[in-house]
Amino acid sequence: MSGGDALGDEMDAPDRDPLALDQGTADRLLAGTLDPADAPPAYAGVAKVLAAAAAPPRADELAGEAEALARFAARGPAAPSGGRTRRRRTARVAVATAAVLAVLSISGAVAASDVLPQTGAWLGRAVDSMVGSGRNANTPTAVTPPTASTTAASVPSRREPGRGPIPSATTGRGNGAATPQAGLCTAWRAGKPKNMDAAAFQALAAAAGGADNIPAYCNALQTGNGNGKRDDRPENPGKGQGPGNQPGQERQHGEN
Amino acid sequence: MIGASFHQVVAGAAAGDEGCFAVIWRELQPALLRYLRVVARGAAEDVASETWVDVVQGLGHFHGDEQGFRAWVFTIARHRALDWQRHAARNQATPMPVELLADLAAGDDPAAAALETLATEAALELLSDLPRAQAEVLLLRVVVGLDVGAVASVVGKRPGAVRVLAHRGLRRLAERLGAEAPVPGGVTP
Repeated sequence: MSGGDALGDEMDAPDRDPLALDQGTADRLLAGTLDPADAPPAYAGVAKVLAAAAAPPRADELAGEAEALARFAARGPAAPSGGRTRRRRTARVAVATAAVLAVLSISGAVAASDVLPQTGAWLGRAVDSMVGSGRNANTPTAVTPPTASTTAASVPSRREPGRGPIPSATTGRGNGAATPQAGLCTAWRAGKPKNMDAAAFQALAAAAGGADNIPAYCNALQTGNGNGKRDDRPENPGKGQGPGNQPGQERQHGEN
Repeated sequence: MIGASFHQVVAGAAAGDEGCFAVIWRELQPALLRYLRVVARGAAEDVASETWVDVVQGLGHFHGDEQGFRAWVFTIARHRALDWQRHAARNQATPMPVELLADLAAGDDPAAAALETLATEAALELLSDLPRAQAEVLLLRVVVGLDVGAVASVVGKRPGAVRVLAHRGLRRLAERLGAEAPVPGGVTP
C-alpha cells in the first residue's frame, strides 16, 4: 500500500523530526502488527494506545446481547418501513392477494371473474382455499397468483420459524375470513390507494360509504378487532427516517 | 471476523434467525461501542441500538463481503452519530476530554504508568482528544479493522485523504503522549 505522495509534507527527515513516521510504520501501527518494543521510540506509546483500543471485547461490551436479541425477535429483519425493496414488493403481492380474496368473498366469484378474467381458474381455487381454511394463517401459498408464485411463496417460508413479526401488511389474512373488509383495510393501509387494486379500492370505498370515509372506517374496524396498532414499529417514532439513513445510500457502500 | 460462514450468517439473520443475528451482533457490537464512545460521546449505547435497528431493517438487501458489511454497518452508525450530534449540539455542552487526559497523566511516572496499564477506556479517551476526523479514521482502521478503501467509503472521503488523516492522527497522538511525560497535566496541543 503506497500513498507516500499524498503525505510528502508529513514525512520529514528523521534527523530533523523526532516524530517522523514513514508510511510503512504507519500502516503497521494501524494494522496492529507493530509491537511497541519494535516501534520507533516516539511511537511506542502510540502502539500501546492503539493496542488497548483494539483489545478483545470485554464482558460489559456484550452485556446488551439479550436485549438486542429481544429487539431483533420483536422487530424481525424486514419491518416494512423503508424504501421499496424486494421484500416490500413481496408484501404488496401478498396484500393484493388478500385484497382480491376479500373482494371475492364480498361480491362472489362470478363478479370477480369479470374483474380479473385472465386468472379466473386460479381465483376459483383461491376462493375455495380461503373459504375452507380462512382462519389458518399458514396457507398463503395456496392462494398465490401464478404470476408471482416464487416471490409470494417466500413470505411464509421465511417467517415460519416464528421469529420475525409478520408484517402488518399480511395480518389481514387471518382476519379476512371473519371480516373481508379487514383485508381491504390492511391493503389500503399498506399501500394507500395508489398501490391498491382498483377493484379492491372500490369495494372498500363502497363498504366505507365513500372513499373519504375509508380512514375512519378502517380505524373503527381495526379497533373492533382488537388490533389497533397501525404498524409494527414499537419505538423511536420519527427517528427512523433520518436524512443519512436512506437504504439506497447505505447499500452502495456494501457493494464496494 | 465471521469468516467463511459470513454469507450464510447474514442470509440467516435476514431470514429472521436469532442465532445468526447474535453472531453478527457479537462480532460488531464491541467495535461499534468503541467507535461511538468517541464520535457520540455520552450516547454510545443509544446510538448503537439505533444503528442495529437500521442494520436489521437493511439486512435483506445487503450485498457484499464481510469487509463491505462492516463498512455498511459503520456507515449507518456514523449517520446515526451525526444525527445525534446535531441533536445534542442544540441541548448541551461538549464534555472536556482534556481533563480526563490530565487524570491519566497524574502519578509518579504518569505517562509510563498510564501506558503500562492502559485500559481500552483510557485509550478511547486519548483518541477522543484528537480532532474528530483523525480520531474517527484511526478508530475505523484500528478498532473496526477496515482497510483504507472501506474507511474512505464510510467517511465519504478519498483514500488519500484517509491516509493523511490517519497519519496526522498517529503523529498527534505521539505528540500528546510525548508531551504528557515531562509535564503532567500540562496539556497544550
